[in-house]
Amino acid sequence: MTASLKVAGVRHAFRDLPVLDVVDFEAAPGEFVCLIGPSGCGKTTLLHVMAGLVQPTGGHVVVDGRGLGGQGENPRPGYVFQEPRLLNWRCVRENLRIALEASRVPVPEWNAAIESSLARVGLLEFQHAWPLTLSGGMRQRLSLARALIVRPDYLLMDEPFSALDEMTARVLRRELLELLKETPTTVLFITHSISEAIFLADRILFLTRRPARIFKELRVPLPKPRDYGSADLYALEGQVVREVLAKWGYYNGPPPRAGGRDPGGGS
Amino acid sequence: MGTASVAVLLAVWAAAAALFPKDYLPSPAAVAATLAENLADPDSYRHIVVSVRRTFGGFGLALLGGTVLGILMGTSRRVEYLCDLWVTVGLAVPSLCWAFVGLMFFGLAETGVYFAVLWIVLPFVTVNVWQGVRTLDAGLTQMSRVFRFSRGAVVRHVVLPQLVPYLFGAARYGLALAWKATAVAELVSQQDGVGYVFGKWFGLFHMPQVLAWTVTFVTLMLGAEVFLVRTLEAGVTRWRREVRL
Repeated sequence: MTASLKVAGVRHAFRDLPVLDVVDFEAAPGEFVCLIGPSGCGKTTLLHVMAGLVQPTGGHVVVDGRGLGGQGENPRPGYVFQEPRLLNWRCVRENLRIALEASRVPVPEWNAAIESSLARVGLLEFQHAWPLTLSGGMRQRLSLARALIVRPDYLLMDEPFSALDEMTARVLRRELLELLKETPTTVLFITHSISEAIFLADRILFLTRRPARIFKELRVPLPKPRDYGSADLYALEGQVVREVLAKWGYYNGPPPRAGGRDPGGGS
Repeated sequence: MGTASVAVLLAVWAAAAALFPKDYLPSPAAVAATLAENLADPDSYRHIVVSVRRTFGGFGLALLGGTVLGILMGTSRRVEYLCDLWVTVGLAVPSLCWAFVGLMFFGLAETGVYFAVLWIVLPFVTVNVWQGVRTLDAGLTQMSRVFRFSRGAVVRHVVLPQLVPYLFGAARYGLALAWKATAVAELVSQQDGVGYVFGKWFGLFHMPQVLAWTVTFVTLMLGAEVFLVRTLEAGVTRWRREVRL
């Protein structure tokens, strides 16, 4: 379950539009790596490459020494999308069973795997419910359970909490870290939230605007478990934001006054 | 609402029947009497059973063929390019043409009816399914690829459930069309079935019988629509309905 990841010289272009400049990085087994970049910078494309959905124009991805897209049994990712992407016409339990059917998990272990997985994300009592009767947070928990139940070599997450309200998102982030403590997994997590990345990650990679390239790497110096409201997390966030926004070319001074008038005009 | 409009229709019919000679437009009461006679005659049921068999047989073939062809057209650009024109042509060909072609190929054999119904209904089912495939959720397709669903699992768990509304649209329209197609084909080539009976009484210019069989025919069609298609649909789309509660 804990594979090492190596992304070597990955480039990608859609026709003439370069999306990924050269991207190079490695992740150690069990490491939690966050990728941060401005919207539209090619983060999702990079994740698709890492899932084997997109064959990059250049470079390659190696998982535990095995290349993606090669001959034979490919390394398997677990994937949590921004939206739950469940089969809404199959009940909660069936959603997991169908994922298991396509996995390497032996049939005799399915029932136990489904039950322990649902128990861990707090959905056991909803196992026969239709997904659309669940709340957004519960659906995303099921999506997370589906990604982990197939015993993936590595876990890819594409802004999985950004569509949830902040309180639900905070609960789910904490639960994610708990789950990973029980089943250590190498994670590649895309976000546009610097505070989310600092809360979750061992290491953060910052991407430039399109075409994406890594321009900064930060090993988060705070001990785990971290506290969302803590002063050192807040201070680190402020420091990183100032540095990164300048690089992305966003306005980075004190906020302009409402109405956009000249500050001296009214006095 | 339904009862009121039926009552209005019967009233207008009765009033009109009083104005015309009864050979041209018999009264509702006369038609009802003929209908009762027919229902007491075992031979009527033989014709009805034969027609129901042909309708559902031909429709079943068309539903199967149209679903496969629609999915192929929606997923393969080559098949779409190849079939686009011919499906449109198929929609435009009159039912009567297929009935005669069926007669030419198969003579008086019943196969000719199935043949005609299949080709008449197939384009409608195909177009519906083809449209449905175009609206498939790309996000779910991607999910099924990441999780490496087998081809069978993709069809069963991802594609077909999303096509259900389109299949039921096709079923409603297709079944009604299949009824009419069966009647036309029977009129052309058969010695039994509702279409044949219809033709016989029309040849004799026996209006009470023509109208009595029209009522029988429409009732059967409505029955299939209400009891079969709607009940099935309600069962299959449970997951959506419970959400609205």
